[in-house]
Amino acid sequence: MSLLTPAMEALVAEFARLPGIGRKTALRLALHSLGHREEAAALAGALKRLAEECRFCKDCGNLSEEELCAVCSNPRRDAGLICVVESLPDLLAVERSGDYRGLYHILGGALSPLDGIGPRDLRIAELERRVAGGTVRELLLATNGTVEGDATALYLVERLRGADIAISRLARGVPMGGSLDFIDRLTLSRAIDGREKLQGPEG
Amino acid sequence: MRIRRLALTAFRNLAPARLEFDQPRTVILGSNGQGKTNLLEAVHLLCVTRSFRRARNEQFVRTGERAFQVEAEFDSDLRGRRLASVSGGRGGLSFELDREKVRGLGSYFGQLPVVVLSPEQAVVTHGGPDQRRRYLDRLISAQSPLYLEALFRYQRALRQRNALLARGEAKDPQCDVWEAELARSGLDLLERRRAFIDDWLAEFKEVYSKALSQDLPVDMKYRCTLGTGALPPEEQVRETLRERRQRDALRGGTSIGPHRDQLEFSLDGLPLRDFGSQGQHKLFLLALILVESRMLQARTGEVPLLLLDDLFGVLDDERIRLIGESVDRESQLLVTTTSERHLEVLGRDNTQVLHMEGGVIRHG
Repeated sequence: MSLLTPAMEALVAEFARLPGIGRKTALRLALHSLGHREEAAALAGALKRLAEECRFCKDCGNLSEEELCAVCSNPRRDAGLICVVESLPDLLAVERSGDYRGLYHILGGALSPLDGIGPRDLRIAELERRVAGGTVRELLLATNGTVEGDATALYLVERLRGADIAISRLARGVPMGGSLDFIDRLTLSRAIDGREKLQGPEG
Repeated sequence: MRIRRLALTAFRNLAPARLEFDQPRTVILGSNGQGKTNLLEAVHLLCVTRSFRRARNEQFVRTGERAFQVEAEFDSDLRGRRLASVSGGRGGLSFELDREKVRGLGSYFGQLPVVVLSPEQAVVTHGGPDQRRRYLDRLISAQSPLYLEALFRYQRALRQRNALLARGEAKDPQCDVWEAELARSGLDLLERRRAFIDDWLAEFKEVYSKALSQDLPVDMKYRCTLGTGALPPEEQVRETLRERRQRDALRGGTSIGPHRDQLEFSLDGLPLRDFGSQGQHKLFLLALILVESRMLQARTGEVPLLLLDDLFGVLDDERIRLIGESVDRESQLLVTTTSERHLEVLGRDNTQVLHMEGGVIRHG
């Protein structure tokens, strides 16, 4: 039998369901909430708001409180260009670059039979629908450089074969402003392998 | 690189010791189970950050103690005097180089080059084809991070394709994308393996016949499941994989590709694995290790330290004498043996002897 009161026990159980949090940490968080009731009320409010108001954009899968997210409904964004990413953090990373003016499409992962993730588990049908809509000119495939990310990109190319659009893949190489000393050997080897010719006969 | 001093505390069964190495060759003499291999292991762990045996960190610690420490002073060919230490136990290992804590073993690795020949490595010549393939992969990966990456990608795609086939989805167009990766990184692996093996074999023959003065002809044959001769184009490999889907699904794995290729060693035209004597296996292994040492030297600019554990047991006197004459022209040598006679055969010139008894080391 638990020595905690029912309210405390319920809170500990909820915290313990969060990723990366065990029962011991959950108890610590619950005790902290007890000692900081205003903070706890604010947290409860934020969680409630998230549960009630936060949705996903019907087009791209980004976080949104409306049917379309802030990116998709912005008339100044280029609706002809779609950057396809695996997850929300990837979208945020591209967005942070500040240079991208197109729209996004979040797949919700990458193909991985080992984890039981197939094409139907990703938002691929939604992407096809957007492409069929006719406004899309180019897809920029920005899935991760992992085996699974590359396979997913290749799969998309196959699925969308026949659509009259350009498809490109994110380039990889030496990070800008990175001194060569600090680049790991793999990145450097790969940059050498895919080097850019600046001058000389066509090869 | 040479090791000059070594201090041990609570490492395995070894009594606390401070050792000095003032000769090119050190022979560690003692009966079985006294701790000779532990001494080599301590040096290996310090330089390579892991043991050459299967061992968990807590096994390094002497029974009843909480942590061990190994400290050594080296003469580096490139950087002069260097101090390195490793300590730890169950909670993990921590390394210091020149009195600074090492963060990220990537930069530490390769600074103190060592090669080892121990009974654990016998599987390279005695074992099945997978053991030689793994050895080959390790050698090439050490030289080229791109190879390591291609290997990782290949193995990952292999598991993905096998998982898909195991679920009975051989007709799924998804198979195509994993097969595309298999074809691309697989051909990359093959190309790099072929290029490597040519140089490797040349170097190996040279070491075997000249450095070890062996006159039987040696050879290595790489049997490629994608056919001999020129490598097939990517499209053709993808096609072959496509055709084999049903069969591979039934057999429970992908049947062709670099993960199925075989590497065979032969001596005098016969497969070493089946026909080699114990002594021939040992000499073959020794030659492989010496080649590894030369490759490591080419990459790091340092002559590696050579650790030979229990090499002489099955060799005749003539061979032991040859090894003694040839090997320490190449490197500083630390070698274990159970027999005083081996020491006499090797000769006592340029040699220091350490006697090992019940974990206690005594200069001889």
